[in-house]
Amino acid sequence: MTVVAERTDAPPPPEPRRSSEGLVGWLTTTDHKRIGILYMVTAFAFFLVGGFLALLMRAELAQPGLQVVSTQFYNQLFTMHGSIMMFLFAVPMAFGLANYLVPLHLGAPDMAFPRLNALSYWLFLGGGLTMLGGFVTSKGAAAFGWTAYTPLSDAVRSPGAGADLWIVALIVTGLSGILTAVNLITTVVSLRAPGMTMFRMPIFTWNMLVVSLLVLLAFPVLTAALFMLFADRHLGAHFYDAAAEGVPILWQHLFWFFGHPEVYIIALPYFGIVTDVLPVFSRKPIFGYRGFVFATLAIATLSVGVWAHHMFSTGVVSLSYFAGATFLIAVPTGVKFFNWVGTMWRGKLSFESPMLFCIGFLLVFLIGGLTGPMLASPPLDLHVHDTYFVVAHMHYVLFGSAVFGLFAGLYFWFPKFFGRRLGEGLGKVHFWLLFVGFNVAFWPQHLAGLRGMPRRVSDYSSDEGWTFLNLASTVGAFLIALAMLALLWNLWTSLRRGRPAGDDPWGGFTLEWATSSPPPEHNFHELPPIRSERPVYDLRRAQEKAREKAQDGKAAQKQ
Amino acid sequence: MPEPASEQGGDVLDLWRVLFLTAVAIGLLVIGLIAWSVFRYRRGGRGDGEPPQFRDNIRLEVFYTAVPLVIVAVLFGLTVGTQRRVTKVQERPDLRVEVQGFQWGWRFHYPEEAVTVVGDSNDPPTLVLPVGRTVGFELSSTDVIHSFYVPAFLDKRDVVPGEENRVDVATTRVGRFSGLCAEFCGLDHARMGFTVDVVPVAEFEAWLAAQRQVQPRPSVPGTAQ
Amino acid sequence: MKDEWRLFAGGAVIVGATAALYWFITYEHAGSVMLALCGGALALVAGWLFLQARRLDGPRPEDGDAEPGDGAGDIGYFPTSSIWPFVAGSGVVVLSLGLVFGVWLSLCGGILLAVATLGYAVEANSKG
Repeated sequence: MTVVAERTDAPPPPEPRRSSEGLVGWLTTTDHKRIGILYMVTAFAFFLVGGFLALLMRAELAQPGLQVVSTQFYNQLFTMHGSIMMFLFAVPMAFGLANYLVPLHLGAPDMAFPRLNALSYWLFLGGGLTMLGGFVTSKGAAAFGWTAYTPLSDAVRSPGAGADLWIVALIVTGLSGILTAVNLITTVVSLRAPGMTMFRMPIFTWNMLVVSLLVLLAFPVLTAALFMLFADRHLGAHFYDAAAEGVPILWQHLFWFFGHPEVYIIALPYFGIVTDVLPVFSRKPIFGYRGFVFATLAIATLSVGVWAHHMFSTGVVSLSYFAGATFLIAVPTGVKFFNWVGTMWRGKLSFESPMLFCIGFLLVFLIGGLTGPMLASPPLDLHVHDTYFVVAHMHYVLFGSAVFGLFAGLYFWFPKFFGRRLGEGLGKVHFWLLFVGFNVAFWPQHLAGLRGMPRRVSDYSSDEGWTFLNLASTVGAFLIALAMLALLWNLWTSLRRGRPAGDDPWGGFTLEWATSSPPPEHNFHELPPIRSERPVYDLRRAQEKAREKAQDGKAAQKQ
Repeated sequence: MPEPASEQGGDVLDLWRVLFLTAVAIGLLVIGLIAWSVFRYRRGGRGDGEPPQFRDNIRLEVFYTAVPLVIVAVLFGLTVGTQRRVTKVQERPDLRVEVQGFQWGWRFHYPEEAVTVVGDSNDPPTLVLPVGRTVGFELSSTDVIHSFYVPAFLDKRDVVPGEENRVDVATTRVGRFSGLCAEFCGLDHARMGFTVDVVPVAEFEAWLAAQRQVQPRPSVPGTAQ
Repeated sequence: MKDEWRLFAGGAVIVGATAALYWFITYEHAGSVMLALCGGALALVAGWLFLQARRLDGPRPEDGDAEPGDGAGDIGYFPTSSIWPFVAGSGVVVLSLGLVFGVWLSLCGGILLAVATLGYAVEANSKG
């Protein structure tokens, strides 16, 4: 259906033909809001699966000795846990939010290519199921770590369909991501509403634009590396085969050239969420809007050039170059932290669930961000690389952003998506269980790593002094699981009986709050004038001033 | 952190202290700012007016961009210094040891002493080294990538098929230390440990002599003895 | 359009400079090639956006202050429902599974994909 924008003085158009309901409705939808919900629900389901795999691992590691699973299965567990979280949860969840919100943020009726958008989703679902399909093959799922280093991942050392399904799944989900990135960039460049200049877009949308750029640079490299791996495994190629003049380390260069931008692809959307939620609950504008934009651009461009800090112990990369470049990324990240503080500074803060999760994000990501420069320093990295110190670091930064940041966004935008608010009481229970559980689970891992405990081990010796740390970590993991149960209960009850939300339950600033909850097809009946990065705030102020003026006028008349 | 058993390890520990203290200082500062905001700027009661709606402060933003830049430059400088020292390798170390990783064990060959020690996950090998000497390790792999890691040396290096890596360790104290494989290498990665036994020089010489008299252990299939 | 092409151009310059710096410091091939290609890709997009910007008669409504009604007119084709994305997606997934389980499966996937492509095209033609 061709959309024609209306002049504000024209009568609202008649409701267009509704797309079909039921299963067929969902299979044929091209509405960015429905596709966004599909992405988010699917990504969350994968998150729960990945989390369950983690619980199995932590149950095994609580004590020395093999009590819960075999080593063979354990190796599948950490491979799939990492792969699911990185590929099937963190990025697709962000794309789901972006799908729903970016057109609304821009004042657009939909994404630039609605059918391509739907295609991206089905590719994601299909690819994800393909990867999980490895578990039901005879040799089990892929078991070489989410990083799949060669020569371990070649046909000799990792035979079996599980590995091939993993490879093929990532090619398909990679394509999904690339198509979404194209869609997002086009939408931002060509579908902004009148007055919505680039520097008035919400920071979440800015970050999704930059993320899309990174996806276009990084995902094709992974796809190429995967095709080469597949060729080595099945088509007689020797790209990574040392015995035949190939270079095993080449895989690492390709993988990490993708892999490092990947972690910023994961983090930046959630930074964007926090940047848009914090000002609403501080009742002030974003502090340093331009600073945020330039910091994001700096992080993105730097992130393309630091990949080999994952390869310091290989002995074949320039330690100084990569250390220097990596240390540099700390600077724009620090700027963002100070800007977040500046947003809260001298504000009037309230602590509903979205804000609690923002504060949680700030504290958790801070710790992860502080261990980053430690790892950037090769002498130190050579000691703690491939130990639990790295596991702790990456969970603090990834969980801090993709989980705490996500939940800040979930509590904030749930009312917009479903017309009802999530319960505040359960929200607080969810937050505190998660915050405490997360720290109990992952803080001890810093210590285990410093004491030399390597990664990806199904078991460890009782004479190393790692036992208590592992037991504590397992307790924390189960607390996280409890927190998720609280969330699931909250979602279940709120969808049925949650408090009705109305258009704007929080006193929001950006355009999604200028329409109903949920928005109608093609999003807006009427757009407010856009003169700043807070059009809905400006509209509210203008309406208040008009009301005051009218009251003054009436009072004057009475006299 | 383990108590270092090598000069290089001691150097790393010194750098760690600087990095750690810097992180703690910055962490406390930022946590303090967040905590201050959370407690001092709570919204009190309903019907409160709006707080000041400031959007930026260019001088402040430039300041807190420049200061971290200086801090990371200093940390980078210290890093490069330590890095040069711990990765330096001598042309002729006191003792040469060839280390070969394989699925799932280690082979330690002392080329100038004609001694070889091999072990695997069922019978882990012991790497015997003299104290107070510089040991030059020559690291390689026959199959997949493993990593030669001794936490007490605060160092590791990957063993990569097709590459030979060099690491020097100047041992400083006697003791028995764990060795581990630190790059996931398949099924028995977790059981690919070894022991490092740093002993006084006389004891080391005696051990070498005893090794030369004992029958050589079966070699790793596919590798030259 | 100014901000848009400058964004990509800035990225191209920085990444391109990184590629040069990296090459002359390390002489490592893989990274240098990847960085150079990334710089090129960004430059390509920047160039295209620059040419688009030049073709405009003046600022678009979203490039400055404007009234909501200024953007009135035909925005684009926004189909509200279509089965073809699902069919195409299924085709790609089945095609890829064929890489693992056999060429016959890839052929099935290819057929699905071909059907979906036709369907897409016909749909776009009839409603645009």
